[in-house]
Amino acid sequence: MISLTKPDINFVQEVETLSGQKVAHCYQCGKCTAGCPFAFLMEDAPHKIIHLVQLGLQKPVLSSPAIWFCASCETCTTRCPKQVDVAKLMDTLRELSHKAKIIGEKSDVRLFTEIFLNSVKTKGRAHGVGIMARYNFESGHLFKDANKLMPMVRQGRVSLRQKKISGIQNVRSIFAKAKNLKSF
Amino acid sequence: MSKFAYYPGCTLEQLAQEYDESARLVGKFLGLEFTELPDWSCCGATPSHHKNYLLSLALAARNLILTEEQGLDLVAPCPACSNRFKTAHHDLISDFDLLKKLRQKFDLNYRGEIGIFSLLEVISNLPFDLIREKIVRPLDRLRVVPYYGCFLVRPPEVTQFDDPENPTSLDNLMELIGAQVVPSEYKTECCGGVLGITNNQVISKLSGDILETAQKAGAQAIVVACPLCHQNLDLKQDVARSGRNLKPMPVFYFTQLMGLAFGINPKDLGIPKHTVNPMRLTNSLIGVRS
Repeated sequence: MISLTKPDINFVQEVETLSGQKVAHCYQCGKCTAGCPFAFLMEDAPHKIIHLVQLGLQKPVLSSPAIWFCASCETCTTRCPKQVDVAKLMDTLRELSHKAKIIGEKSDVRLFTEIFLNSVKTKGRAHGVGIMARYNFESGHLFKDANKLMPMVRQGRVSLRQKKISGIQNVRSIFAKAKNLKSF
Repeated sequence: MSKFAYYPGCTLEQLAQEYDESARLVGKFLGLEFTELPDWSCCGATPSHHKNYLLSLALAARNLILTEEQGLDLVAPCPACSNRFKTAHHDLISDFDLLKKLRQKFDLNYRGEIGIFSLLEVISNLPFDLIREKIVRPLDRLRVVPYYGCFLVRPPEVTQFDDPENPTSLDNLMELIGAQVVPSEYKTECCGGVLGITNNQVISKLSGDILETAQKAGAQAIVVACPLCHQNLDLKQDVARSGRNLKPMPVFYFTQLMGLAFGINPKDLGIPKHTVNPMRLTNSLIGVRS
């Protein structure tokens, strides 16, 4: 069992193996943070998250809301002068956070992730309205974007039901197998 | 090769039907043969790789294998989808162990022998003379900001398309159909992406900045190639404009503007379906009194 509080070299290794990135390559220039469109929402900016990983501080990293504010726009990855794939690191940290069941205080994105994937697992395709309805219900933002719904229903742009694809069993088996495997 | 397996994706099947309709129509006009990929499933989108890397690879690979069975290259109008497919392809062909793992554990046998393209990529790679000869109605009264967003051009090792900091493919297409391209330093800044769905603060800052710079630069409209960008900039424009002194600004898909220039009826291109009313501008572009 990995310690969640003390600096932990195993954590650094786990992140590196999963992401295929060498965190030691980062020399903290801050270019990722400078270009990050979401940095204004983050208490721990991207370069600071990497520094915390370098120090092996698992719990502060995995419980930081910042990792959920990354939308994978890949600006950091594109610009890093040391070719660190920062967006990929963020994916890895979210994946580890899911597995360690450590949730940052901002968990709306995580909730959306679960609901979205559940829709894909059920039907093979994402059902927009179903996902939004369930997200609103479970997040407590009951009427979020409700004013958008009626015009779309009138235009026939959203259907209240989603058909299953024929190969739904393939999709479900992908979900089942992925759940039982480690990502490396 | 002008024959492609066409992957609409979940968004084009529902919310962004007008992108699907205009993409198929314009494709046909340009002699591109699109056959919808049979029994396609979700590409995995952002949530799959936010949760589980192998899941994201396998969900994408299912569709890539279906494409291989068709013996065709793949075109996806939605850049979120094309980016997922290109990422999975890139990762799988550069890591034999990963490819083997997908084969052994998921029974997914991907050979990696197909081409994967976004629709913008396919159309902007066509000979410009072929496009030019279809134009019957140049949009020479339109001042437009081409907005690329993230997924089309980043990261460049994966997308293999255009310039990640200053792409010009959409600019060139707009100039080709007669429009005046208004430069914007926000052309590749993120609109908020998937976070726009859960967080309005993201839209009001990021999409708001994109709209504001476009309007201040004198543009009448924004043109996009991504349904997620369209959702944040058009469907949620009230949120994006809030607290800013901005006028409503129509947001078009590039296929809709190309279709107008080809003489296709705005209704067939799904233009009236947008949230910010684009009909006044559309009618003025095609010389119809509204």
